[in-house]
Amino acid sequence: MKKSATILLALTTAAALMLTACSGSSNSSTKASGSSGDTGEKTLVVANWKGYGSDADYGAPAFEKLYNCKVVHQYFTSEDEMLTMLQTGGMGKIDVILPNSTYIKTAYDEGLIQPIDTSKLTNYKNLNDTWKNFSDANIDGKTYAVPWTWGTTSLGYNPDIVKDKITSWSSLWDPKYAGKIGFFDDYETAIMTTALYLKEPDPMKPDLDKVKDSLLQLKKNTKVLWSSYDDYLKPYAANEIAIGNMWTGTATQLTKAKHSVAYITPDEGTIGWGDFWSIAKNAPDYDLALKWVDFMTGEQFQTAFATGDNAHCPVNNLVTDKLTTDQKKDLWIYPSTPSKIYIEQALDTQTRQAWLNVWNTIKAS
Amino acid sequence: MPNSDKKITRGSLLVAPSSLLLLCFSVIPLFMLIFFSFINGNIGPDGSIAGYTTNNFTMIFSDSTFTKLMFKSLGIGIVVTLICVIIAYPAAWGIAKIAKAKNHNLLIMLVIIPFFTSQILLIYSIMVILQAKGLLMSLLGFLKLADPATSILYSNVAVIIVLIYEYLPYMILCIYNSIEKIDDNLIYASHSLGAGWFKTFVNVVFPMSMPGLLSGIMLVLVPVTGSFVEPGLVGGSNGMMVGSLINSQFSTVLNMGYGAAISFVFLIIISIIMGIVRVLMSRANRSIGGA
Repeated sequence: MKKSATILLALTTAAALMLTACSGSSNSSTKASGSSGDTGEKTLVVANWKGYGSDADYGAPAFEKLYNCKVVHQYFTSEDEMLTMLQTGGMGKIDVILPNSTYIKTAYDEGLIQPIDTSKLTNYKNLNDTWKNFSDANIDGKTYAVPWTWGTTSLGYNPDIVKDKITSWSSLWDPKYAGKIGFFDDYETAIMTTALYLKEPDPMKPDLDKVKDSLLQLKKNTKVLWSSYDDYLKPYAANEIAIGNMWTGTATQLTKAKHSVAYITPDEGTIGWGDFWSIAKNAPDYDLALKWVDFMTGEQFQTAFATGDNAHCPVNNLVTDKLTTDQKKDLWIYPSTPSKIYIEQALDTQTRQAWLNVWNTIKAS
Repeated sequence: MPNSDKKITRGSLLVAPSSLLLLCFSVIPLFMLIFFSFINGNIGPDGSIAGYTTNNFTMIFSDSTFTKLMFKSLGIGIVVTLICVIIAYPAAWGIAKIAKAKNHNLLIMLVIIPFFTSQILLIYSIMVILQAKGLLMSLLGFLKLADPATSILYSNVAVIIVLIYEYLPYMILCIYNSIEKIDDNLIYASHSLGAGWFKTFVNVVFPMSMPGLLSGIMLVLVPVTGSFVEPGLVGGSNGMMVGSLINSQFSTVLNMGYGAAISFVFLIIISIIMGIVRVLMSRANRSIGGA
């Protein structure tokens, strides 16, 4: 009995030691890789989602070869985690981060990012103006974020069931489609979409009372409030819903699953999101970070990114122009990239709460 | 006498670990919830608090959203609990008294098996059965009873069905536990004294199964009233419940103070209702003249 207890104790101690050793090595890899390399080999620390382009063969490895450096990825699983990473010791270690359009302002407000010297970016002049000029990315005349890829939450429908030519958000309010509508369960999208339908001058600052009335009508037409791909795919496949707002990715998924789908940009314009590169404050290697941002928006990378298995819309105009018709159709930018895109911005705390309250009231009524 | 004293001291020592557990995971969190319901907004990344306010509570009752959702959620909770009780009594009776003793464990096992599967999978599997062109609708369509391209998914009825499916096992187990303890001789005695099935149930079985029923109601009513995953997935545009309102404060606008305040009010309302249930049941028990 005693013997076996001793063995057990020894085993646990050994296991614990091994665990600490492992975690220790993975923690220090960031620093180790910098010093262990040849003299002069630099390291760049990139914070991004796992499997999102930058760690593909045409991403980091290509960049490493080009600039004789090492790229280390730190993965996050939510935008909040990305910010927390910097706040809890990442500052001074991480060079570049990838905030979503709704998170740039937050990162700026919390002092996590620094201005980007766009005069040193060779590809910046070729980037799409809609995204380049996004207000949250340019604060006080300085650029804090460079666009990388984007998508929309636009109007999609099943042409087998919806026979009319759909050109406007007003179709969602059409009694003809009552009970056939799927709508995104997200307060910001809901209010911006309704503001577009109402032709409010600034969809980010709409008349909330008017929006509320219209949303109440929309709700009566709505069958499903979705919040994931799967939420949409199931009822769409069963023909329970036939029209509604959806992500670009949802339209792609539906096409892949052999369902007929049309994905359009309504005349009033559409809602867009973008992922942007920002350079972290106190980045260890600012120059290399600039080169990374330039490479990520360059023709070589953007072409590969837009034509891979999981295609993403490019921001580089030269790349977009060279895409074939089929490639453009896959990205839902055929015949042309939507011109009227309203990009989701960060909302201040009060607006955020007011908008959520409107949306919750609608859902509760 | 000194001997029994010793036993008591030892007993209280043995209780220490579980008391500590209760303190750490029940009492302290409860006070944290009350504390956070008075903070302004969210706590900062460095743990800082922006200020204290009672606004969170005035905001809850500033419009009818919370009240409406609270009533609706309680309604759903009560309906689900009642249906669970109605289904669970015969099931528990069957397992405890009709089935052969050697089969009890097997039958209880069958009731427990759904617990081995994740809740989200249970919901999705019910959705597959209920959805348009799914198993149920195809069958009804084949029998010319309904159009297979429609379904009852994305409605409050669907939410109730899913919740019953999820929580029925708790009710069966609780009631089974109480019924199993009832001495068969009491039932024989009741019959031999001329009571029919109904009278026996009302005067003997029901009063004696009251403790199990009460814990069953507690285990079903409380989580069902606070649920937010099921209404989100199968409730459609009218699915929202009070749990979804709380969830949205934490997950979409990061307003921890307001979310905690709603949770706190919810906790108070639910506690009052459980208190009422307890009083009603002990009254019923007394008027029946049971134990």
